[in-house]
Amino acid sequence: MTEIVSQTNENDASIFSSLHCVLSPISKAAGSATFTLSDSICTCLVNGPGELRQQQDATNRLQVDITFQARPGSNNTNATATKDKLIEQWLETLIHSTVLTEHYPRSQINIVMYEEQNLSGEATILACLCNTLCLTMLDANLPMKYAFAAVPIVQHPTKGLLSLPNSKDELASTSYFVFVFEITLNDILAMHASGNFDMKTLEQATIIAKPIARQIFQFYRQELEKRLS
Amino acid sequence: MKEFICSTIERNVVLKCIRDHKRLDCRTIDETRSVNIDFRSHPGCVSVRLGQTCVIAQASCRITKPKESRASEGNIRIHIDMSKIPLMNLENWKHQEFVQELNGILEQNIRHSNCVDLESLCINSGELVWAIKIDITVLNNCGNILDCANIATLCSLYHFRLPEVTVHGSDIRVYSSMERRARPLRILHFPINVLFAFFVDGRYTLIDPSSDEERLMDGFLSISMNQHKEICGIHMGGKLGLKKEQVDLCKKLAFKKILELTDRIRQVVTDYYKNNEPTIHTQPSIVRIEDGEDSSGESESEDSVLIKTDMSPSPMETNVSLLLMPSLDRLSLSEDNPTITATVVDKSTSKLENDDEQDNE
Repeated sequence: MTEIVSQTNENDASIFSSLHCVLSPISKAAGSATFTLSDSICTCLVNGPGELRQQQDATNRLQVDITFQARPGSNNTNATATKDKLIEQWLETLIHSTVLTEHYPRSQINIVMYEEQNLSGEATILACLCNTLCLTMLDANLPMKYAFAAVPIVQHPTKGLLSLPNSKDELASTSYFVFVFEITLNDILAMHASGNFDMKTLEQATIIAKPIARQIFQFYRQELEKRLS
Repeated sequence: MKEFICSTIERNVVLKCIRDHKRLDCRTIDETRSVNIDFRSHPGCVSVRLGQTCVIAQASCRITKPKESRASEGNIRIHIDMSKIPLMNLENWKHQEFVQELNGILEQNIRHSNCVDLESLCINSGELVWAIKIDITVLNNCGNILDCANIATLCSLYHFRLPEVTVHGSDIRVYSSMERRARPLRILHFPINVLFAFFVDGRYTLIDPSSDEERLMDGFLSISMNQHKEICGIHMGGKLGLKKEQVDLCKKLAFKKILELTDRIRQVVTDYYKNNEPTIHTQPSIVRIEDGEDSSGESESEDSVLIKTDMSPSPMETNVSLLLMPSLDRLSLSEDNPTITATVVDKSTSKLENDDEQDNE
């Protein structure tokens, strides 16, 4: 096993340089956000709460309809790929655990996530999507139990575990983790991993990711303060 | 999700303003909204905002067999996706009709005006040509999607870079962006569209309607012209009849706007490429299919069709080109050293592309 060296960013300021966001770029939506994480850019918009269609049935809670549109042109048809559907379902479970769905019975919200730029691998884009989703729901003022933030960690063959990697490192990595933390107790809300790893690596990755998540929450706070001031 | 119904009060206010030659957003009747063009790192990916209307365009290419009647020309396809915005006019079929109308106008403007030199897209006459597809996604509809989508298409086409291909006898070789710099498309002219809205039986005209105005208009006229004063497309929609003088006036107005916009588009793309190196195709933007849908069984279907997912499943491969090869002995791809850790480091600014053209055999 290679020696696990965690390359955390030296000072707080450096992580903020790879995060950037624009709130409410889409005026007609209830809430929207564009978020940049290193080299990945995502836009998300949420419409609702509104009427249910006739086929849908959600008598005592909110119905969540989420659509993820990957960058077009990579396949012949315009249908969503299976991998993208998986991402949609993962995000849907995240929303159900976060949003207070009992407050809006017999209504639905539509969430559209659009991936604009993706120069690195899967880890960064997945983390970018989660963070965009959280910012969008905050922008739309949906009642949530907590805010959440996702941190990508990759396992590089020589450099060990890296957090928020740049594209070069990420494309050279063998396995990756994406941890989603929530803001109140900094506990893990959801996680996705791929590749070969053992439990020790997993635990170490968790330890590396926690402080980064706190910084991302600080970033959210800054952005929302800018907006409300 | 449906849009809100336009209430009678809103309708009356807007029409009254128009009768007084005023507009709700304080523009004059011949003033267009400001255009913001933003490029992403992928070639051909652009996000255009016309006021609040936001549209994203992405160009992609693939190699196919050409049409029988046009053996040495490539083709361009445009597809608008408006499924992400609330339904207009409250009905799904009305929304679909609107989408189809827009798609038709856009295709007419871009394809039939021959703004891209299709013969330059030919690789091997009668057998292989490039087919360019532009996917447009509308994110926000605040009026005048047509103009916005048109600008986005042109920017995307101008920004896009086509990989280099060489033909040696019957062997065709596609180079990755690491080996040979991808070249731009040959664009002969820029057909830019301007939309005019008419109210009250054609008595009042507005340029570039916003969403309220667009909902209440009686009809529209969309003129597509280039800077050489050639009309590339003209389309009238809605229920209205126009006099010749009105159309002439619109043409004059349109021409002024078009000159500015053409310069703007050229400027923005050249500036982008001055400051940034063209990024490597790390995304699957090339899909070569087995001779497309329009060929007869010239190429055998049982051929070794290489799908990336059949190979060593590294998570990073998801980003890498999906290449399906028609027939092995005729097509080959340039390869890098197929080890995962081989970091093909490019000096200064370009992003890394590692296993991009890995093992396609």
